[in-house]
Amino acid sequence: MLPRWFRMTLILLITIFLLYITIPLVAIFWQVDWSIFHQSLTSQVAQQALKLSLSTSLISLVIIIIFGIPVAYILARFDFRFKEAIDTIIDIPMVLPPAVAGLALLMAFGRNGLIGQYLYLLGISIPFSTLAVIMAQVFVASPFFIKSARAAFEAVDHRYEQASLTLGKNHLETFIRITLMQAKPGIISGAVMTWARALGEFGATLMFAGNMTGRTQTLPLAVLSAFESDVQVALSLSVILIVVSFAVILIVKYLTRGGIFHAKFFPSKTTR
Amino acid sequence: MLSFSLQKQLGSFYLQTEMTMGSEILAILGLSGSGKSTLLNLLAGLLKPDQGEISLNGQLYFNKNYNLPPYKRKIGYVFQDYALFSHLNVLENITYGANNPYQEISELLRIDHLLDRSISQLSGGQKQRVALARALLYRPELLLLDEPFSALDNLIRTKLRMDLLNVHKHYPIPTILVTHNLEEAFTLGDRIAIMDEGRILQVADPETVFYRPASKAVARFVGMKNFFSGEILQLDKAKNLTLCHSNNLNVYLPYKESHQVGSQIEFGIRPEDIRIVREDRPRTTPIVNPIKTTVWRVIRDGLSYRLFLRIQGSIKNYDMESLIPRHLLNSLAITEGQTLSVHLPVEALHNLDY
Repeated sequence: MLPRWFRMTLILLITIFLLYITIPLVAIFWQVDWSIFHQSLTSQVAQQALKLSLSTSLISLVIIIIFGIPVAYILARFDFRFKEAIDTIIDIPMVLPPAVAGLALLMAFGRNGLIGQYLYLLGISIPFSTLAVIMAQVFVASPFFIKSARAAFEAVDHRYEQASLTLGKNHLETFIRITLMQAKPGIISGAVMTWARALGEFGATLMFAGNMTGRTQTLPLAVLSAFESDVQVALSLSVILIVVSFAVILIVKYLTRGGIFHAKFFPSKTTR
Repeated sequence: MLSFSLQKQLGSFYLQTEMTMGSEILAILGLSGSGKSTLLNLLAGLLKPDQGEISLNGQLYFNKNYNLPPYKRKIGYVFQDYALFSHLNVLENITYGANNPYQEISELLRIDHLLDRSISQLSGGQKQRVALARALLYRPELLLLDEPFSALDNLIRTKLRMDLLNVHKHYPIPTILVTHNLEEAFTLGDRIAIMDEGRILQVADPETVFYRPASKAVARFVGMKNFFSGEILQLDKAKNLTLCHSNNLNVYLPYKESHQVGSQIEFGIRPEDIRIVREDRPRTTPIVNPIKTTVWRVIRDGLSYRLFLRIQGSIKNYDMESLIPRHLLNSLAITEGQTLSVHLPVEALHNLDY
C-alpha cells in the first residue's frame, strides 16, 4: 500500500496528462458546426480526399501484407547472416522523419532520381501521382506491420508446427493452417495499426506525391488545405480521423486481449 | 516392425543407437539430456540423422540417400506438452491429421463428451487423451510418446497408464514411450531400454533390466544401491554357488561359468531385497549370508523407510541401504544406533561383471 500523499501526487500527474491529451480532441468536436457537418463532409474536396485515402491506404495495406508476412516469418523463424542488418533496414522508416522519407523517395524515383531517370526514359513518371501516394504510405507504414507480425510468429509454439508435420501436413499447409492461424490476432492488430499509419501519412506524401485534389490529396493533406479555405471542412475531416483512430486503438486492444480498462493504475488492496 | 540405426551430433552431444522392435511398447528410460527426445525427433523426421537407416514395416524412411519428410511418415507423435492446437476445438484437433471416423477412438479414450470444447477448457489428463486420440486417428504404424504423463498428478497418471495399455491392446503397433520415471517404464514397457548420453546401455524385458542389469550404470539407473567388490574364494557348481570374500565377510553368490577362484568380482543388491532376520520368530531353514549391522540412519522414503546400515567392524558411516515397509519398522521398533541382523538372499545378489 502506497502512502496517501504519494498516491495523490500520482493521481494528480495522471489527471493533468490525460487532460492535456483529451482537451485538444474535445476542442475539435466543440468547434465543429454540427449543423453543416454533413454538408462539409459531402463537399467535393472532402469526398475526394475520403475516397483517395480509403483506396490508397487499403492498397498500401495489401502490398505491405503480401511482402510483410514472408519477411516477418523469415525473421521470426530462421537465423542467418545479416539478419540484424536486415532488421535494422526494415525498422528505419519507422524512426525516419516522414519529410526525409518523402525526399528520399523523390531522390530515388523522381524524374532525375536514381531509378526514376530510367523509368522516365520508359515514359513512366511516378512522383505526384496516386502511385506515389501508395509508395509513400508503404514506405512509412510497413515497419509497423512487420514488427507485429514478426512478434506474432515468434509467439507461435514451434511444437505446433512439428505436430502438424507429424500429422501429414506439409510445410505450406502447416504454415497456413497452424502458424498463420495462431498468429492471426497479432497479424490483424498489426494490419489495423499499419492501415491507420498509412491513413495518417502526411509528410512523405506531401514531399513525394504533392497535394493535388483528387489525385494525391489524402485526408491529412485535405485537412491542411481546408484549414486555409474552409475550417469547418478541416474540422469535419479531423472528426473522421479521430473516430477512426479510436476505433483502431479499440480493435488492437481487443485483439491483444488487454481489455480497455484492464490495466490497474494502483495495486489493489488484496495485493500483498 | 521398426528397425533403426542412428547417429547424430548435436553440439557436444552425440547420439548413437540401433534397435529393432515389433508391436510392443518399448519404454526408453533415461535422465533429461540423455537423448530420448532427440531419438524420437530423429524417428519422426523432425531432425535429420547424420548417418543411419530407419525402416518401418518394410518401408524405407531414411538412409544416406533418402529422407522421407515427416508428413509422409506414418508416425503418431504425442508431445510432452501435447502441442494441441489452441485455435481449434477438440474435434478439429483430433481430425486434423486425417478425417477418419473418430467415434471408436474418442469413446475408448473417454473424450466423446469433450468434442466441441476448446483446448483451454481441458484438464491436463483430458489434454493428454486428446493428444493421444489425435495421433491415433492418423492411423500411424508407429506411436511415439514423449514423457506423456510427466505433467499430470499421480492419481490421473495411474488411470492414464491403464488407458494407454488399453489403447495398445486395440491398436497393437510399435510404441515407443520415453520417460525418466522408473515405475512408469516398469508398468508400461514390454521391454525397457536404458539410455544414457546418447547411447542405449541395455534393452531387455523389465524383469531382466531391474534384476539382471547389464552394467553398474544400468544397475544404478534402476535403483540398485548396494555395490560390493570382493575376491572369489571357492566355487560350488553342484549347489550353484560362488563363495567370495568382501568387506571382511564371506558371501555366497549365484554361480557363473566365468567365475574363477582368486579373481575380483562386483555384485549388488536392491535395497528392498535385503532381508531383516526376525529374531522373534523360529526359523525352519538356515540363514544364508547373515550380516550383523548397526542402524546408522532411518529416513522416510514415500510410504516406506530407508535404513542406512553399517556392517559391524566397518569404518564407513554406512555400507548398505535397505528399504522396508512402515509396518515392519514399527513392529520391530527399529531405531537409529541399534544393531540389526540382516541377510542377503542368494537369488537377490547380482553379478555386475559382464
